[in-house]
Amino acid sequence: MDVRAILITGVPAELDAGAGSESIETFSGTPLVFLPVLGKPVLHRVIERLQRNGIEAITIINGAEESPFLTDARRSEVKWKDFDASDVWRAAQEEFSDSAQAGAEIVIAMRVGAYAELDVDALLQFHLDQHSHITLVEAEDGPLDIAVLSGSRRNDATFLLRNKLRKLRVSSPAFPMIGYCNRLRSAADLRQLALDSFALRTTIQPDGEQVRPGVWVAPKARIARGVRLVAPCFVGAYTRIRGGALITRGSTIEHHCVIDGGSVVENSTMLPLSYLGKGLDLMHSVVGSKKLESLSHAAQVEIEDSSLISMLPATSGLRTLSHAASLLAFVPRQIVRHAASTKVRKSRAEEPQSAPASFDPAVACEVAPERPTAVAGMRRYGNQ
Amino acid sequence: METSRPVVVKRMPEKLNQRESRKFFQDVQPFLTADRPQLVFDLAQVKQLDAAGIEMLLQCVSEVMKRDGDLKLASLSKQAEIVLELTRTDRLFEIYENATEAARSFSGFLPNAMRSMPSYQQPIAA
Repeated sequence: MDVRAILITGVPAELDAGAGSESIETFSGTPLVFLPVLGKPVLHRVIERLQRNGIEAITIINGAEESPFLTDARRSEVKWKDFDASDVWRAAQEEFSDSAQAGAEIVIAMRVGAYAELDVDALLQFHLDQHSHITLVEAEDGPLDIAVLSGSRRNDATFLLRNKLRKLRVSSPAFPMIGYCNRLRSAADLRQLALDSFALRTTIQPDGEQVRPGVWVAPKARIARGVRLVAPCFVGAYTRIRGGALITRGSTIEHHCVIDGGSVVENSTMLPLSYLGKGLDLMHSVVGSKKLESLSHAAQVEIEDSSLISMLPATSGLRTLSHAASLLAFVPRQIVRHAASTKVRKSRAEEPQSAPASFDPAVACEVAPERPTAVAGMRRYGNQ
Repeated sequence: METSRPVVVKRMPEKLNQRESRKFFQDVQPFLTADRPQLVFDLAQVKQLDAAGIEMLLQCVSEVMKRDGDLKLASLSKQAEIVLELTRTDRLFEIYENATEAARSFSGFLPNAMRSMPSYQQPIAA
């Protein structure tokens, strides 16, 4: 049987009235399906699932704008077509017509918003058994924007695609979704998908070698001595983790990230090409594209200071250049710092250190005593 | 015994980058160098806080501590809260829901009878 698939990406879900949010299913403007989870974009995992079920002819109709994450998500073995977001559904109708004309008996159309571990064989069997023209897939909490269309029913398919996979011309029984499903509506859902994968609630396998039970490291990752990786966690390809860092509680560090010395990453996701500065505490967050979304505070912050969080260049040439520039800047900076500290040390040494001859309470009250910085952190009245 | 030393409440600007931090530090310096200063920084308006802003806050608290005073933070915006948590500086400050609570907390060590006196320690907005 000739079964093909049309995957629609870069268009947000149709929301119920009053439930609107502009940033739904995206992080920093990039659809969540293009973002990697444990080393691979979610879209790749959807494609691989279809391919495992014998569906080779897959077309992506994309309405999202270009970004480094989108470049990562492109695959050569699938047909990829970019459109303006407003033209995506019309393009999907045309693609269905082309597929039907080319002999497709069944076309699976899905708007890839949610990550659903669909039993494709069971879905196709259900569609054939019901003798339906169209079968929609429904989860417990609503439709999943997945439909099985008979190739011979162009009018029904056109109606459905025009209505964004939500309305049928002729009603038919829906296929109940059984299995893991994550709506991927927010960064919290993306984080949950990683945690569920670590807990083996999904079939997602981390894309790396398991170096210790529960610790996966992808090839070419550079982890300095003194870094603590506490299971479960994942370190992506070409990522650098500098000394004294701690990665823990289901954190996932995707490819080409840099974590500077002494930082702690706890229950967080670092998206590709992210830089985390020295001695920072990243907790319950998703970081990427110079943005930090705190899941505990339910807020997203753009970090302008590149010493805290920044985004590394997407191309290797630019990355090498930026490394070279920072190395060149490092030497003169150290010279200046050393010169300045020597000057301060000398001036301190020259200061006369005379102890008061006798204690005068009046003078002691007037002049507040200078304390060493180490003591300055202590509270006079305990933990008030 | 403690008497009515004023509590200075200072509202922080929207952006706390290097330039703004320096300007803000100059503004608050007279209060920092007073005898046993009692300061509250209101961070409700802060939208952008970077390493320079954090350093300035640490400098302020260090100055205040030298003079046996205290600096407390109040009404943290989400952005400020996230950056303080990221840089591990949230644990160095006492943080309050609002400036009034923060100002009232300075009288925390006094006997209950004094705390209930209405005229005691009215915050001064700077």
